[in-house]
Amino acid sequence: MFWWKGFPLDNTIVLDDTTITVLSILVLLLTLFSLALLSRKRKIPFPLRRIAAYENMSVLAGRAIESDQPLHISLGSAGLGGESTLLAIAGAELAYHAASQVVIGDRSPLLTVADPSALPLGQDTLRRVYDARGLKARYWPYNVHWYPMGHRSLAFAAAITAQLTDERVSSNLLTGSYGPELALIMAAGWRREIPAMAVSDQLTGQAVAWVFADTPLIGEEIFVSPSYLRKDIPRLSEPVVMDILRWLLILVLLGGLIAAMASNGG
Amino acid sequence: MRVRLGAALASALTISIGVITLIGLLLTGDNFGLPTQFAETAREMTKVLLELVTIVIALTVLLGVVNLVIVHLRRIWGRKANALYSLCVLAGFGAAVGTKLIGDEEANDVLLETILVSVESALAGLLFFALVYGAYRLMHHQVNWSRTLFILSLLVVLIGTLPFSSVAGIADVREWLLAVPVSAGARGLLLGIALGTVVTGVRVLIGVDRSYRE
Repeated sequence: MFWWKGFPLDNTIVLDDTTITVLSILVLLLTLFSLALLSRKRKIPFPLRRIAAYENMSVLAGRAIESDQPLHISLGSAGLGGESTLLAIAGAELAYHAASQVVIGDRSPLLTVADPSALPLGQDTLRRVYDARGLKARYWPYNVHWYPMGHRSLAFAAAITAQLTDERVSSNLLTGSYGPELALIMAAGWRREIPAMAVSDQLTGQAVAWVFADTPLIGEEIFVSPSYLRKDIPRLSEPVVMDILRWLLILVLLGGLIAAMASNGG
Repeated sequence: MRVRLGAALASALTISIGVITLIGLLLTGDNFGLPTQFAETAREMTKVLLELVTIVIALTVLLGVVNLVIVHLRRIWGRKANALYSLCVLAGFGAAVGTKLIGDEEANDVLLETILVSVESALAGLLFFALVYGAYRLMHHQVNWSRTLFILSLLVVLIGTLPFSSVAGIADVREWLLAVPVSAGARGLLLGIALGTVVTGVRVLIGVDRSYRE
């Protein structure tokens, strides 16, 4: 049986990594182009679903300004050059929006990183925030702290826990890569009644974030922060593209399931 | 509309380097019918770019060390609360560097392995209490259906792990929980993160990301 010439459905198709990569890029490009065409015809913005954590961001910022205490933002062990590069970039984008709300106060936000490669990224994020607000003179690169992590990131968690007291942090915004050590930071924050927003790309860290955070973000929600927080130019394409890709994936999985059931005789 | 030259150059550089690296990586196993010389050039350029990335990332460790020292010196200098801890950090840092410089590997191992591993093990023990405290606070703070379900699942998994024959039924439920809903949820989360990563990657490649433009 041939779907089209050269594409046998009844033979086992072996997809190597390169083919999967090329196919992924093609699917993504097709989705982007379709979305662009659809938006042009529709002229009506796609509605975004509510994400409590982003709605609560201004509350965290307001608390930092009113209490004259710094907002603590951490990228965890996300860093540049490895698998977590894009997570670090997404985390820095979220940090940018959070910091831009609090730099008008007296206390500068604190940014902590565990991966040294995220240090220049964090410093540049803060610099851009002050630059955009016209407060360049107040930018101090050492408001970004590097706490080296040990084999299990527990040393990093211990350092952050100590910092919550030393710097009298007002709120925690933990966005990046964390494992179970996130529980230590969050529990220390709870004892001091410090509200927190948290998200992690690791499953254990995400589970801890859901349990401990006042407003957790779930998985991929970290990647759509500009669409929710950027006020000047609303960027709605990312969440819509992700939703379309998600539905495509669900359809492919369901299709695969039905095909497998059919080949096994129902 | 004003366009800053530096921002335009940074965007052009990022997009071109990203595209070259992508092409080089795609052509790693196969030429896809492209001329061999083109494929080889792309592969070589990608290799050089990736080596450059490795070197730059290695250099950031030096930046990190400078940052660590300045942050803690500033705390001591400003006589901030708990500046003693900063003094301990700097003393530890000095001792680790000093023992390495004079070649005392044994003392260096004690500092970097024995002490660090012991401290991290103690923290791992504390982690257990933090997680139990989290489960308690979860219900104490606000009770709703999702939190109740979470705690019930937690109890089933914990009880199902016990090696008693009287809880064999719960052990079966635990097995099912881990194999079906937990596994499905975990895969769903990971797929979502993968989709987000791809979208962010494309955003960087097409120059929409502004981190290098301001």
